[in-house]
Amino acid sequence: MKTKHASTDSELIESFFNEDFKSFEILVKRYQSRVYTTAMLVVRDRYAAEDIVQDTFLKFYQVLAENRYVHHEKTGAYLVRISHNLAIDHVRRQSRNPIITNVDGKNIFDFLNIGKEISFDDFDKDKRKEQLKWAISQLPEREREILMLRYFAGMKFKEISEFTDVNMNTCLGLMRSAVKHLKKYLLPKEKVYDKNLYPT
Amino acid sequence: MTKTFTQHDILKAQSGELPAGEQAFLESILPESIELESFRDSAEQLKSEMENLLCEPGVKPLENIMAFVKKDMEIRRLRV
Repeated sequence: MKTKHASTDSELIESFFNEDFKSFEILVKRYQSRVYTTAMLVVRDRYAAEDIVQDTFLKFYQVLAENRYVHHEKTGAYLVRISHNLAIDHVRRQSRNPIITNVDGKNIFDFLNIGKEISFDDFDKDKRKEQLKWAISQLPEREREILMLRYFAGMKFKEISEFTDVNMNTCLGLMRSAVKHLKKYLLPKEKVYDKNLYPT
Repeated sequence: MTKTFTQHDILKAQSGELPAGEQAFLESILPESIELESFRDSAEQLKSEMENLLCEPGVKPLENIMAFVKKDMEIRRLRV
């Protein structure tokens, strides 16, 4: 027999309509990391991102409870998009408040890394990961949204195009541009040497 | 008939949206194009690194969400 955790999103939503509280919890657990990471990559603040996670799922609940939900097969995409939009709203509100910056004009709290403990061994790996996160946070909104929908919501370009109402070629162009922008923050590909020519 | 592949085709191949025949042909000609091969490597790398970026929120947001939902469901039930 299929367990509840193995149920599809549509099956869980159907159970929720039959007042099954647990179904909603499974949906939250299924998508919370993607919703949270999406928000983190925009706001770069753990507490603000957690608030966005709450707001995203409460909006989702509201829409379900009022029987207005229509994205049954695209729940991941729907949630990632809400989270991204809420995060952008947050950044816009924040931009009206003063931020303490260093001489390079960067937020001083990004350097202090408050609340984050990393071991020395993980330092380089973490530093590179942080650089990639920072680079994603600096992408133009539309490029970042396509990136999230493609990789966090696992959508194909045809689906992204239908979901966002943006021409498929434009979606592909935005993604191409995102890959190019992020290229320098990716690990270089390991070179494979011919062992006959370069013996170790 | 010839087919010129672009970076868009690389992205479509990655998401499984390129017809099977074209996909195989693209794979075979990639070593001949430094530009396309390099773009394919970056796209593949980005895909795997994006998966590694996923992180979990603390337990509090989940507790808050579920507490609200439970309470709201009860209120809605009473209203009916």
